[in-house]
Amino acid sequence: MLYSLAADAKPRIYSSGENTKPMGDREADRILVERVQAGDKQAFGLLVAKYQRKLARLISRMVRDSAEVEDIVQDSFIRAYRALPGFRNDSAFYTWLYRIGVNTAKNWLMTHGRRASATTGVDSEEAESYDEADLLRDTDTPERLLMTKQIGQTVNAAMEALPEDLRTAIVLREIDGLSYEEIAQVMDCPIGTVRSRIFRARDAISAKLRPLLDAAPDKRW
Amino acid sequence: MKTRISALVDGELESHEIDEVLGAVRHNQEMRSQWCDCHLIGAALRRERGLGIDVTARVMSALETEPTVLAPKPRRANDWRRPALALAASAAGVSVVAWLTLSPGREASPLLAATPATGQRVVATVQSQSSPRLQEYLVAHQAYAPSGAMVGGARNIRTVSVSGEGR
Repeated sequence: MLYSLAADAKPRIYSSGENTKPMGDREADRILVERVQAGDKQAFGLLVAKYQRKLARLISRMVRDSAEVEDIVQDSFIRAYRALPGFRNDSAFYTWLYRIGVNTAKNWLMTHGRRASATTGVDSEEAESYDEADLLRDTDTPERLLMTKQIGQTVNAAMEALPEDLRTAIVLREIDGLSYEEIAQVMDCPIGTVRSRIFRARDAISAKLRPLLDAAPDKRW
Repeated sequence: MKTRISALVDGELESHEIDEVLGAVRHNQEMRSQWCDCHLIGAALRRERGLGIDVTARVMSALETEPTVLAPKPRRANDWRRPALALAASAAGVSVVAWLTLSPGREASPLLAATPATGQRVVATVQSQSSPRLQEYLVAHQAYAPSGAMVGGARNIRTVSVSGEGR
């Protein structure tokens, strides 16, 4: 089931002062990057957890084998970490990271004497507007495919079991991409309630996912 | 704290809350798992592929052997000071050069101009030294004077000038 609820969402308007304005996604990345640049390695782990799947989907357009895709993703993050002192936050972190990912994949293909698969013409800007769900080649191993399927099923089942207000809040956030303020307008409730509902929804889904993830072959961070 | 991590995932955390949240993530494995779960749930709800991929632990393990990156802090608040200081230094330099070049009466020593009595005494002293014997000596030894170097030339010019005044 694909959820979408926000057909008549109002535009984002901040009525409160600048000091209480939420940081935004790019600003959150900027803060994490600055933490890493100040020597906080754990902050880099948060960026890895956030962008690893996006980067893997990008690289899987160039490299077919899923195990190789994972190696290139890992290598890309390590290169990004080494290059991070030179990153000045002039561009978005993920645009910069995607460029490193594409270059790492190209180098890997050259080293292994291979040509990129048909959809190689990837740059970071294109990658962001690219509809991955339609065009992405499915290169996963059977184990990975099974894991993906089980995670999807578990999340869907957990969503069905959620109270209506929690389900609406997380759908508006994750699928429609609304801000908390917009969700508050749509659901006619305070922003603090939105924040609480989204957290409770995630917590409930997470509780259903944990047994599955703990049994996964990849060690959890 | 868990509510705040969820808000950070959405970029909806307020700036003053970030330190506490990152501190919790640094020391608490459960908080890190929550961060990872939140992103996984979002990807699953958007029906993205590759949900089974999780290289975070591998990357962080590999980074344990890497030296910690340290970047110089970018200057933000006082950025206007640098160009202002450079401009002021340039203006000061130009002013000094202009004063030295264009100021009237720079050829005469201001010290001598202000104290004419002392200046006369100097001239008188020099005149008394420029006796005919000394002049002969200087002319005879002019060939030995270092003519190529600026210092030697300047010495001779001063001597001739003094001799002229003496006549």
